[in-house]
Amino acid sequence: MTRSYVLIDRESWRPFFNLVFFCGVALVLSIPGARIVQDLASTSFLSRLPTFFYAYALFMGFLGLGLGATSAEREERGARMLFWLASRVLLGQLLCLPYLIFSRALFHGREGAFVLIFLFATLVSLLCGVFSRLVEQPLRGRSSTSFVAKYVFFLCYNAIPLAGFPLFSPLGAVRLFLEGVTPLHALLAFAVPASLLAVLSPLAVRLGGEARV
Amino acid sequence: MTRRRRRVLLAVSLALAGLVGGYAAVRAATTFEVVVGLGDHVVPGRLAPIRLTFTGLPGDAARLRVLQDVGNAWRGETTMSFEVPLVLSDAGDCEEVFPLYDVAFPLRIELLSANGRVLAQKEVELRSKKEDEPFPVVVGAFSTPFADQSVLLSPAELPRDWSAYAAAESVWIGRTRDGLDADRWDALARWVLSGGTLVVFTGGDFFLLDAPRLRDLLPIANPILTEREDGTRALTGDLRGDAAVLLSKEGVPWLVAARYGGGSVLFVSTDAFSQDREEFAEIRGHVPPARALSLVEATSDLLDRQPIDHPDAWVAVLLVGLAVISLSSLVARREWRPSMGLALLGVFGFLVLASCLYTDPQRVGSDIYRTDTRLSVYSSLGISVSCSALFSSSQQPAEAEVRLDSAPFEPLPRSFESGSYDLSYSEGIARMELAPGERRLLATQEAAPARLQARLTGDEEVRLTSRLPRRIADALLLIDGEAFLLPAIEPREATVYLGSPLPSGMVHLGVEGGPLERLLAAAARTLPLDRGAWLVAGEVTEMRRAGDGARTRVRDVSLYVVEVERD
Repeated sequence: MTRSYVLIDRESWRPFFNLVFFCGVALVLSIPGARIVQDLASTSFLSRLPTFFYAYALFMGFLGLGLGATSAEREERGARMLFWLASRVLLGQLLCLPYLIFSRALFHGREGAFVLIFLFATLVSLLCGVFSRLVEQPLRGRSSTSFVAKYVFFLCYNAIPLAGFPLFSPLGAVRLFLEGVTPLHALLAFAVPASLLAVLSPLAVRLGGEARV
Repeated sequence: MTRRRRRVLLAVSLALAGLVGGYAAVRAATTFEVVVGLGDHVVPGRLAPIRLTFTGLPGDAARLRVLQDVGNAWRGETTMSFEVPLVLSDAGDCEEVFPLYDVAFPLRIELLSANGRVLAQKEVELRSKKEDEPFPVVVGAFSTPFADQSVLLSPAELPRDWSAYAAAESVWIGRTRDGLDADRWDALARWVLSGGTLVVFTGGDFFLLDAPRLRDLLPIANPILTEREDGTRALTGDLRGDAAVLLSKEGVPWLVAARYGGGSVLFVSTDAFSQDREEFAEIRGHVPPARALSLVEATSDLLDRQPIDHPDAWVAVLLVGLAVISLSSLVARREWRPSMGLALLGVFGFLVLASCLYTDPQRVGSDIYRTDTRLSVYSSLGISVSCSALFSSSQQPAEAEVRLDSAPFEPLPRSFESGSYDLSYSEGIARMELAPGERRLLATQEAAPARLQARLTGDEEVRLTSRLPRRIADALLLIDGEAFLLPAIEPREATVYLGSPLPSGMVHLGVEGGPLERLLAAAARTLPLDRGAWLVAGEVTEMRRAGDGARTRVRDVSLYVVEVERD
């Protein structure tokens, strides 16, 4: 069954809900519980970590994985599939925008890093969407296998580079963006998802086209 | 080449060589002698004077840099650098006061040109100069050495800066040929004002010592020289209000003590050569050790209580709740329609705007929280003791700068990571890097003109003269433990009529339990505010500063304590 392309509806809203809900919880947890310096010095482990941005990077990835699955389920294909995937990722960004603006108060003076993280999260989400679409295509009907495959990939992508090359992990890149990176490091951080996306996108477009035939 | 040209060339070459040689000779001859501490004695962890006497000082010498390495492999190592303008005294020497932390490493002293070139340098070994405790400083000649650990100085070796006496337990003035100059009397008076103890032997030597500041310090007024039955000449006079006779000889006061600010002046009515060893021991039994006026503990406590900036968690909960509910209600049970997209855009656009408006500068978290305290104590002279406490709440190392009038002393922890306590003081600014969650404390001491004066002109009125640049909102007059509430002190002369004393338990300076009261409690540990008449006034200001990428919230607490004169 082929459906018309939509941005969001009652069957595809859960990944967006997860993003808004969990990023919101992370935002609340990021706010120091302290009222005076003494409390700040002794407590608030979470307030020392960029918890919100970690959650944001992670759940933008999950959003991409969910959107890829929805796209496969709806048999979206070709360049239009990519366009709608990107549009939905941007909708996810719009839904998180109030949080990003609010978090300015927690990370003063790092607006430049915010822009980098925003662009990086968009890229990672898009990559995850395309990857999810690719995994779901051949494994349709075996939903548990595809589910495990793509989530294991995503968690490995986040966790493994942290051991040696944190710049290549979305979580590590977010931390480095906030701490301040050189343009070369920023380029390297963007290069991994960008090059993977450049490789996978034509595959996804072609695979979708073959499936139709 | 003609012979004439050769001669000219030779002459020019010789002239150039002469100039270069002369310049090099002058450079090579630039040396300096250094005396560190009081008579080459230092107590680690206190301020100490450094006096330099130059030979062949070049004209472009502009600054002095003192470098100290502190710590060891186990404790951690750090470097303190202090750079001050080169100021020569009338005698041609240079005297500065720096904190001394560690005697394990030599002190490196460099003479710099205006552009930072090192013109001369010297390393000073400190181990042999170390004293564990503050010691009595003895000035001039005495009939007998009366304390084993005392340090003997000539009047010319006495520092001219009151903060240089930090290692002195007490200062004893004996027989001097030419007395002390006004700068040194002022320095001693300021040190006594801050809690020091001065013992002055007078008798027949009084007129060698006599100076306006000494008369100001002495516990007697209208001094006259009398001769006792045993032929000893003794100085007598009218006892000042709070002076107490501690010892008498033949009915004549022999040892008289009076308070001056937070310290004590002990006046011996006979000269330094009229006492024997037992009499010196008897006097020593009445000499209280100096007490240091310190705001470090109070400032650290005030920093702990400084409010922090951050957005309200409940507002964040409201924002998240609105976002989740809006998304659920607009999308969860509906098919896609363009109007749904518009509604989402409208609602989340509103939330973006609300977030923008809410996160104004008042609610933006600061990278550094800083509490600056300043206690100014005024009598006939003035001193100022300051402390800055900083805490970094940033997630990354933050650069901090604090403007200070003199080289700061910093209480160091027992252990520190290498380099984490590096400090650079130059051009009146202390610069340091704060690691996330790190706290630093910088204390300074300066001389200050008495900008606030008070005189009791009757039982019920006080005359206030303020040359402070602004109005001071909170003020109290303390008379022998009773407190009177005063109106705000304006920067001019004014007569204020005293009402009824405040009932005990209702005596508050500023907010009850607030920063001013905490600072006043710290001052009261050294200054006897429950005795005599004192004016206490203060103000608290809050400000936010942004610069060098670090946003700093500063709380400034200033307290003025003025010894009130009585008609």
